[in-house]
Amino acid sequence: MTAFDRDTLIRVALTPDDTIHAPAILGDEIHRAVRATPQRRPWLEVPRLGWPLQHSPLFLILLLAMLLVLLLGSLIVLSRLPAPARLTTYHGGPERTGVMAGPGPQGHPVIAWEAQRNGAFRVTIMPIVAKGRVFVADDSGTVGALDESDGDALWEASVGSPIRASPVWVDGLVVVGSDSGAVVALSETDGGEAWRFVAAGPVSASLAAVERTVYVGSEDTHLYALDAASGQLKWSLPVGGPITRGPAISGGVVYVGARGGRLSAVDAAGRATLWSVELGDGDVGTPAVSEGVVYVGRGIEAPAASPHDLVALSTHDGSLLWSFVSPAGRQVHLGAVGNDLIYAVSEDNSVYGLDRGTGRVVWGHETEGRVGSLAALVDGVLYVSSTDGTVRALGAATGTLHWTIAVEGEPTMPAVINGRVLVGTTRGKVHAIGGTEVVP
Amino acid sequence: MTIHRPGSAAATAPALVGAVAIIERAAAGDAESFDLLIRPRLDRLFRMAFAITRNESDARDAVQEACVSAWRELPRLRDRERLDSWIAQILVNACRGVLRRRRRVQVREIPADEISPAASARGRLVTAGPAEATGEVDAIRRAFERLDSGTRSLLVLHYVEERPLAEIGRILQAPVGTIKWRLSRARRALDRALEVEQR
Repeated sequence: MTAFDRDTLIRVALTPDDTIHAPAILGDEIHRAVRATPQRRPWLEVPRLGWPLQHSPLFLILLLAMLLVLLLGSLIVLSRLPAPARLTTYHGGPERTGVMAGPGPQGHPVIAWEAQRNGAFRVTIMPIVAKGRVFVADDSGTVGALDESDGDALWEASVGSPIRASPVWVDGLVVVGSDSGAVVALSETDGGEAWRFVAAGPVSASLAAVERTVYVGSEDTHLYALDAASGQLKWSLPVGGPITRGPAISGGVVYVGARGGRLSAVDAAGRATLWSVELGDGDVGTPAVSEGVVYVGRGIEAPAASPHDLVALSTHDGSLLWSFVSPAGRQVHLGAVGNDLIYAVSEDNSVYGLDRGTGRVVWGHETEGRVGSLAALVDGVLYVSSTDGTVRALGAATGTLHWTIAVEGEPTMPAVINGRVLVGTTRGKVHAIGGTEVVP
Repeated sequence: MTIHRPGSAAATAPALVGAVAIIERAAAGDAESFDLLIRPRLDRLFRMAFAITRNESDARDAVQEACVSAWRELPRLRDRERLDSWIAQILVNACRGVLRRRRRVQVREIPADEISPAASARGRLVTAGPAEATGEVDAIRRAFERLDSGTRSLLVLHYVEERPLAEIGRILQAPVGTIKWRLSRARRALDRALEVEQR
């Protein structure tokens, strides 16, 4: 016998001997198993027609009609599906009522993930959320996008100077103001700069966006309206003082406060100032607008003798409806606007539930630290951040403490969405607080 | 030693024209027709499963599992003329599943991508005379049992079943170029396993 070649050796080795055959009963076993097994049928069975029929015009027309019906059905179903939850604007939306998309965490609170950023977060800032991404802006001038599910950094971009206010998300862009006066729009996907507008003074007030217009308040005393897609200036109006708190927008009117105490209602098209009221010394807080009433804190950083209260004003003419002064006379901000109550957060370390019609105190809740920022309201639960390094959930009707959780540093204003509470901290952390129960 | 060469699909299976009608009836839920399809193929399927698993009991399990899967999925088979390739594909997957579950053989399987060129050069098969060849054949069988299930399947389809590369590509769902590359890698894996076996 001649030498075996390599492939023949392998073939000989791997080929079963002639004695290897299927057992005689295997066919019967399979037959029995098959009879006991149902077949899986395709959900749509196209009849197997012969060549001429399968390619006949009638068959093709029927097939096209079926596809059209399927397409239309899919479009109808898709149009009725709820849109993915977003939280694109500081304090929940352009009305700044603090009512957020939710839902909040269910069960006991746990830190779902945390991420370290380059700079600290001002407590008056809020993470914003769109398309499964969390957008944060910090003191170092860096804007970052994090994966909403696990906090992984997706991109970051520097705008060149410190950021003291929340960005706004509009049509795929993250728009942010900075101390240099630059307003920069970054692509949500990769942080690439889409456009840049430069105001004459710092932009430290949170931005707002309505109908593809971005509203920017600057410390140069002007309110600017920019085209969201291009950054082109649509109009600007002087409001009588530096703007340090974000404007609220409702019903085609922009409500904006200015240092020096003036609150103005401006036509959102920029045609005119509808009314303005002088609220006394100091700064005016971020207004919130709901059902014909503007709620705003006044006397921020004003001398002790000045009023430091929360006022309710008519949207019609700015006339005073009621005022709430905290028992200790400390500064008060609007926390959130509920159906029956509104919620005030005070620098006397307390949160108050107030009767919406009169401003009378219904309940109070004291924390160990100053309540450093505005609150979030979701499904009857009020979420507040405190300078004692905690985030708390209170029953909105009674002020009962549901839970409290510690974070690393002083937390920013909470963003409540998709079963989690998102906060930044003064130590540059971003925490996602989830619950032990799965949110559907 | 006799080399059993399996007949072509046409020789062992019913003539195609008649077979298509039987397949249609089986796909419509007729178990007797499915029996007519499977029985003539059973021996070939069993030998293929044995070649991959090197164990009669495992081969039996794999063939039974594959045949029941083929019955269940038959209504979804669009290209009825490729029944043989399709069943072979199911059988290869069944063999992989059986081997994964088995883990009875305590030797470590060697994935093909762990093979270094130097190692494969050392363990390369060489030509030999008949006496040496018998020893080599046994060593190759033992080496084969060290390979992972994917490499085993590829070698069996090529060396035992002698299926064309295009058909192997259909069964393993990979382009012909990839199959060629995998085959070369599988040979090196066998060389490496042989080297381990001959230490």
